[in-house]
Amino acid sequence: MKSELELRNVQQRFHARGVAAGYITAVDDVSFTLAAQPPQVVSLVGQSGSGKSTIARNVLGLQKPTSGSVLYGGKDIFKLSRAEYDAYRRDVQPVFQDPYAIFNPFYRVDRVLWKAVNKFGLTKSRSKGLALIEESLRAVRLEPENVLGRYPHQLSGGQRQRIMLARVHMLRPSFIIADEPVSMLDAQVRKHFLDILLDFQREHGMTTLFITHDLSTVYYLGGEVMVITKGEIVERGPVSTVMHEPSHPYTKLLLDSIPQPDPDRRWTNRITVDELEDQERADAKAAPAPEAPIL
Amino acid sequence: MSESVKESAKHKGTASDSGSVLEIKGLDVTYSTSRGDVQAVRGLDLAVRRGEILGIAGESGSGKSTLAVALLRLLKPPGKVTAGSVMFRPAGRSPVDLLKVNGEELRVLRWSALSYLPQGSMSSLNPVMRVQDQFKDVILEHAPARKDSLGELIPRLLSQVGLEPRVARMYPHELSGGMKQRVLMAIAVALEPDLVIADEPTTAMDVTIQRVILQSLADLRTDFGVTLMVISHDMGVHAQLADRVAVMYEGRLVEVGDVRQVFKDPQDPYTRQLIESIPQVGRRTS
Amino acid sequence: MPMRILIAVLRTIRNSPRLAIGLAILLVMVLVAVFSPLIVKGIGGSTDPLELAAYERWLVPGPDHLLGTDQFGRDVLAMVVSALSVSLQIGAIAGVISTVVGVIVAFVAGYKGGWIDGILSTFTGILLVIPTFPLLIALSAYAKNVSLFQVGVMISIFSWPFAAKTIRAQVLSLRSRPYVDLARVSKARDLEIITTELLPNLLPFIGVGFASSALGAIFGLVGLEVIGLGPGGVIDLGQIIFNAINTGALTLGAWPMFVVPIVLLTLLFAALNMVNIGLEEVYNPRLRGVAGE
Repeated sequence: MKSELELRNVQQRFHARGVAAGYITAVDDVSFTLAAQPPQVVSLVGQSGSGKSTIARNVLGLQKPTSGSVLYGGKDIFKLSRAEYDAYRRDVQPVFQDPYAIFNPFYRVDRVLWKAVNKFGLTKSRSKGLALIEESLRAVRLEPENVLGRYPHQLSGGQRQRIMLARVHMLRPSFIIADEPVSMLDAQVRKHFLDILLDFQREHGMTTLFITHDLSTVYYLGGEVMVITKGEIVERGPVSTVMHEPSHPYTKLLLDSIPQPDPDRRWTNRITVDELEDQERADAKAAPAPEAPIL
Repeated sequence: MSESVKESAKHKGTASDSGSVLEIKGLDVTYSTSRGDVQAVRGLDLAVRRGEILGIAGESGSGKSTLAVALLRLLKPPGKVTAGSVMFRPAGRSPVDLLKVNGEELRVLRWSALSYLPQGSMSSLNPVMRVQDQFKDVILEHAPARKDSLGELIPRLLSQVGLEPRVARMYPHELSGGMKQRVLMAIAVALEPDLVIADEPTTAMDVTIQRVILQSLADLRTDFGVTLMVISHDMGVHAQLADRVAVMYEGRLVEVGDVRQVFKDPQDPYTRQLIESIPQVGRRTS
Repeated sequence: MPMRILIAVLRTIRNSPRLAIGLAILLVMVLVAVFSPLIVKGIGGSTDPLELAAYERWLVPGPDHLLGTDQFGRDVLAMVVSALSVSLQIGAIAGVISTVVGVIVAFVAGYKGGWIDGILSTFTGILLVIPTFPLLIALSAYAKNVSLFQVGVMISIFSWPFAAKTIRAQVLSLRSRPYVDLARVSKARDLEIITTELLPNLLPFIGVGFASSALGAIFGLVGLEVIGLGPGGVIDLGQIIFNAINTGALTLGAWPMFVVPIVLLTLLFAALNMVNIGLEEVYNPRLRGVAGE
């Protein structure tokens, strides 16, 4: 049975010093539903400090919302039974932003893949496990002999990020939560990565929540898009509609600020941005939040 | 903005017809690795005209950043300049070959005639110094005579890049990445240099912040008459900002020309490919 | 796993000559200490060179007694060798105790966070600011005839907070690393994350914590001995210095009694610090040269 992933009135506050209220609302009353069927790509686009990465952590169960709930198959993910929790973990998997920090520098990259095999009980046999790993590496267009047995620093950012995709390929979750997975990759490598993600959607029926600040990536992926600013989703709809006929002023500002590769269509007006406020929001998240200790 | 600054801006503006501020000839840069030598820049010829904004385009690994560090003499081993000359003609000083000047001469030129905004330069601000003290450091080191006018100069420079005067009393950690970048831009032009080289000034920034930075960069040229060399992999940045664009591929210069010509009528197949591969948001490519 | 640690250690040493030299000096000292009974026997032959009146008093350095003899006619070289062993023992005892306690406190505080961290950090902070040495003097003076081990425990009480503080800061920074998040979505439990994700990356810091605690203990003991409050029944380097000062050994031409222990302590100090700095050098990315990118 394919399940649904739903955010219901999620609010996330973080303590912050130097702010009048004493806290910052990183995510403010956000609700949306991700359906596993039909498989789709839903982009969540916003700038730094908009709260988009906090939503990813909420969905992945890494951060418990201050109020509201994250539901998997209709149940709060922080109140699942052991069996339900196992199913949720298997079915909702991440690809994180930083291809460098995602690997523990102490171990070879193989470990991440073997962990997936062992922790999720894909197989007990070592040879079958290796076969699975090699198959998944090939699925993301990596040659197993080029990456297995290497340490993270011996691989490029693109290779590392594709190993994360191979991990996802092995687990075949219904939902991929991709938090800025291509922001640190070059244009060419970026396109490869996105194509693999679209393959996964088509061939393995995976639904992706794609979190990004980059509108051209959203445009490339297509599907649905939600625009978030200051913790609130201000616009949602099919990518083509939102990009061609944006209705919210913030979406318009975002679209208008993409530097067009045409010298005849240069900006004619000037804009100002309250960067300090966004910085405060970003800082509040960076600081450890005492109200939400780990576990 | 004071009269004297405007004057000098005008002066530099008119001088722009009279030739180039920087002339790179036959530049070769090689990285020696254990697996043999890699040529990062090959036989590069390029002139930067006074008062222009020159965009250097190319994908990562094309050698565009190596070019910048090489001509600023900031190349680190195993990188090595193996051939070529870089003539720099600052206004009111005698021309020098940047590859031949000694350390002391180079130190004098930096900031006052030639400023560099490295990639990810936001982290080059000193975290324990207020913004104004970082200005003072640079200005007093090169132009001690301006000590008395600092109180007026710093807010003016900040407003030039669209920052409020109160930013002067803040510490770097209180600023956003875009604001730090603009503080550095203001420091870079504080001594009215002839040439500012900015390496990927908007990389990894939100689009609205990027737009504000590009606005400010354009202002620097208009208001200070500074010549800008802007290195970016983003063709959109060049289309919005540059007067001329130089395209690099595998260490070579494949095309250089007026921004309109490069975008509308690219001469080199690689340039064409580069422009065609840009995802056009909101408008379908034909 | 042990193989991997060994490889990591070898890689680390190759990357820092400073670390290699420091470890080499330590290794030599440890070997001397371990084999000190044999060495002492070798020096004395049939007589015990540490026995009172084994030889004549105040012999100047010569072929028979390379470093001369002391006021009781003991061979100074033999004394120094066995004293080195005692000093290293106290370092090891205090180092192990404070590192173990420090690491546990640091992991609990840093990983659990919240009020647990608050309490533990406050307690650690209080211990850190207590002036250690006067308290140590008071304790030693009160508990006469303490054993070496007891002194080690006493010193540890005051030196674990230092290790705890450094390691806690690291745990705080490491626990929010993406690879910890990845382990969590891979169903790793807390203890597993601590031991397999965090601990290996903390080895250099644990090493630094151990080295500083050991050093603190060795010098703490020297300090106690120099003012005559050391544990009974053992000779450590500090006690030899204490004797040298008390008897005016320098004026009697018995300079080795004073100089050699000090040289050894300096060497030990230098070696441990080289290890500290070397580990820092290898593991602190900001000090690291061009990485393997």
